[in-house]
Amino acid sequence: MSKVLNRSFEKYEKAEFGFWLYLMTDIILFASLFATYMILKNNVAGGETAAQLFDPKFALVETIILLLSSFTCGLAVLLLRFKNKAAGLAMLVATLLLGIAFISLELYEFTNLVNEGQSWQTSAFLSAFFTLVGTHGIHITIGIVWAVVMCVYLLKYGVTSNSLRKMTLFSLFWHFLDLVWIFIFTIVYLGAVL
Amino acid sequence: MNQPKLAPLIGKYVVGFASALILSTLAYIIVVEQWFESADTTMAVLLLLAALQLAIQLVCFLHIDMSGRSRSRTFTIMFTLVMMMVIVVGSLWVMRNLDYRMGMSPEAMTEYMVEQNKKGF
Amino acid sequence: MSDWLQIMIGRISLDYLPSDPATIGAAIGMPLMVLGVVGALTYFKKWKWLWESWLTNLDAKKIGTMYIIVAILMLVRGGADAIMLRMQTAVAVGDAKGPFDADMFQQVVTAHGTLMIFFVAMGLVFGIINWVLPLMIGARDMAFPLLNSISFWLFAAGMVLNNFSLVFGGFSNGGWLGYPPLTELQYNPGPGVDYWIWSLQIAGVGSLMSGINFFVTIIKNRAPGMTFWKMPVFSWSVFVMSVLIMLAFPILTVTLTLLGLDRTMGMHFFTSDAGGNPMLYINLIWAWGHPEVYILVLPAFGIFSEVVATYSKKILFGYRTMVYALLAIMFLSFVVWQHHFFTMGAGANVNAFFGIMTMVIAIPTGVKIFNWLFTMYRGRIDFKAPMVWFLAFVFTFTIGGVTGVLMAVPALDFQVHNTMFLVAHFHNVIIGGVVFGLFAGITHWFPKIFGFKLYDKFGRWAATLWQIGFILAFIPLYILGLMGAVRRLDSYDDPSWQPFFIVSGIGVLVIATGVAAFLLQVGYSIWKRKELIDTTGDPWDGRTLEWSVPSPAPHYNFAVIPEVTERDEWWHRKQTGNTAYARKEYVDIWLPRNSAVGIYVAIAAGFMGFGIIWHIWWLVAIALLGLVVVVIKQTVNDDSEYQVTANELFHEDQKRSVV
Repeated sequence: MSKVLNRSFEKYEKAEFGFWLYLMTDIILFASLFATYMILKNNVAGGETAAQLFDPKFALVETIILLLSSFTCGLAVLLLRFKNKAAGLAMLVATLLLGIAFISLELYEFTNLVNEGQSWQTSAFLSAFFTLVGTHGIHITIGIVWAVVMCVYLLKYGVTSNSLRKMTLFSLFWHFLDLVWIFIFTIVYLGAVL
Repeated sequence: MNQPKLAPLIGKYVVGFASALILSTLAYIIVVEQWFESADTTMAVLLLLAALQLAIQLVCFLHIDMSGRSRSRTFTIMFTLVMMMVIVVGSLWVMRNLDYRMGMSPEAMTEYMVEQNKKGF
Repeated sequence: MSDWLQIMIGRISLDYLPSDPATIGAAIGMPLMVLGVVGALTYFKKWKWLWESWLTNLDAKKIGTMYIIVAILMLVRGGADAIMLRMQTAVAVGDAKGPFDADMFQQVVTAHGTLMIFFVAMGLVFGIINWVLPLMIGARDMAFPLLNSISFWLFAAGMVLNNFSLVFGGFSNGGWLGYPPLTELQYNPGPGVDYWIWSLQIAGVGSLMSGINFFVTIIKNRAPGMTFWKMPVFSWSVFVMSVLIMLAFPILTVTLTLLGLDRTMGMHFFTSDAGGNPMLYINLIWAWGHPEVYILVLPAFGIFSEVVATYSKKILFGYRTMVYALLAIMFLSFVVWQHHFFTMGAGANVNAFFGIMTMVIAIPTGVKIFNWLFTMYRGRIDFKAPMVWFLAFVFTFTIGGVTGVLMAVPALDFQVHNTMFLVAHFHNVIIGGVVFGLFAGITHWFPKIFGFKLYDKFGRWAATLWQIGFILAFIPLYILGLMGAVRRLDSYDDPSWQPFFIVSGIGVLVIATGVAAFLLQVGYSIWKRKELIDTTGDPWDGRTLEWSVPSPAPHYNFAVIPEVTERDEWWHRKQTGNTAYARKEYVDIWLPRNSAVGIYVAIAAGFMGFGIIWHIWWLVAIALLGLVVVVIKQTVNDDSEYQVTANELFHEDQKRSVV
């Protein structure tokens, strides 16, 4: 057992592990929302069903955008680790722009639904849909804000052990959200038209 | 000092991204082209594809494997997923049962209870 | 004009001021007490000291003390609620009216349960863990000291919100778990249920953070050489508890949010129309609720493992089986939750599965009790107050445990579900297990934190009074339940029930004297602290590492982090005479600076909650913005620690006397 620990390495380890555990709790959070959606999916209160309201093609576009952003995020971390600040920053910006594109599409879908009279107040099914997908959207929005803060931090402090630690945590978060979306895509959007 | 090379590391991400794209598109095609007749089979296949994509993304993007530091992370996520399945499947089982038994019309309920009574419940 | 006013103050109106004597009394009394404290602090010029030594201090021991103080305050309030309830049931038979009307009674029932579980039990558990865990594993602090502070302040914010409902708006009347559709807008449009939702939501986030914090602390902060299998059993119990918290609390967060969305945004998760499913709420809330009770009781079991071994002067019997039992309970606690609603209508298969699992979980629990008793066997027992609390636990908890196994049989549960039998059972296990364990723990570790012991005689009085009080207050409830008395009943017709309710009322008063005895114990001990001083740091001839540091423990815990080679490392060191450190073993260390971030986060969260409750949306927006700003500022703050040199540590150690 080494007596002299590199303080910043130790800090990094703990932060990463702690953040990973937070993501585990987020898995349970989303799982509860998924369970709720699956249980309430058919409670349409005489209104429109998932098959009538959801467009898998639209969701596929959203999926591809988010997958791409996950890819650029991974590249960003790698490039920064290899001390390529400019390229890393560019990938980070790409990630957050793709995230904004994703959210815009989602907001567009939500707005259309509400305008058609299919809001979260209409039925239990729609409450569950808006909450599940909306919670994911809120997480993505937080991720976008985080990415902006990361850009500013990187510009100000450059590539340090601190900024790499923070980038790693951000990328864990962003990849995780992409994983959750895979299941939203499968269970909510593809599941709708079965 | 063995300096890690950038290219193979990027390669991992490219593989992950490409597989994820393929799997997602495949899932989409399966549903839209109705490759399987029953909805249950389709959903099972879709969930399998999603699980596969999850595994690939975990390995390629989140670097989950059995190596030293990563092992505790692998264990943690496996454990979480197991407990999550218990909670989700358990809830689905309980709620399906409750919705069926408690969601009937009064006439259907009477019939059901008479039937259950004959079985000794 | 009135549109503007509506936007500014939401649905606040003078109608929400309290209108009955008890609430008015509390609504005046509480702010007066707060003003009294504020006044005293100002008069004695203690604000700076309070801010630096306590409120912004990230030392886990300080945070632990603050948790315990808040929890004890809430114990008094929750206990007062209990007295009120029993006063009512002792008299409200037939045409006779009790002092409270039905709605008030239900609010008191709800407040009692909510406060006791979320603010007393959780507060005491987290407080003791903060006191003890780092010391016991040979660490300086928790893995994330700032997160620890944030957790405490969120807990405090939840408490403030809860108490504020007394002054303005009234509390929920929906029971401590807030079942819909009663708690939906249709039947409960007022702010009470919203107070309940948001005070729990805020405190719950704090708890979740603590779960992560304690878990990482155990994984990463253990002293070198302390493998998992050399860790004291209390640490194992915190480990398991943390896993339960991390898996269960997100479910609570979701469920409270869904109910909140129903009430605030007109959604239909649990409403009785538009496809809502109230049964879903009950399923989700108990999927959290059952692990929650294990979250409460496992640390208490851990405390007893330490207490019994220490005061029996004998190594804990069956260390490995104790650990395996904890791990078994960890898994099993997630497959029993449906037993809380056997009667909701599921079929025999479902009920049978959960019933069997519930019976199975009693087995590892029983193993633990036997192991404690075997530890005592042939030990040289020192009947200090913690041992008396333990003996009270064995007697009390065992009764509660067996009534639990009784109710695990669905057919039997159909007879006693939601009767006073159930009420007796859960008080039985919570009081016997959690409360007695926490009092034992407070008494046992008090000298380590404050440098003087608690006066033992009053502690033994407290334990005895609690034991007698418990029997009088709750055994009659078992009988009442079997006679048909349901829970949460504010009046009843059958006069043959009244004697039992009266005995129960007397019991509650005896318990109240038990609480008073504890407060007397603390007050008297502070007064007589010079006589009760702990000079050696090891007043009980302890076995684990926390007893190796001076009392009160220094803010850095260990001047030198020990290398661990044994279970019960401190006991081993005392036997081999290896209790001091060489000068060269002292090294420079880093400690966390004070931080007010926890307070700011809690203020933001509190105002967000308040805004949502009263529909003051601009307040919610500003509070959220404030929260975001505080969080971002903190994430870019890289200067959060300060250094203490080896020299300073060495001289500190020389100044204090250590065995």
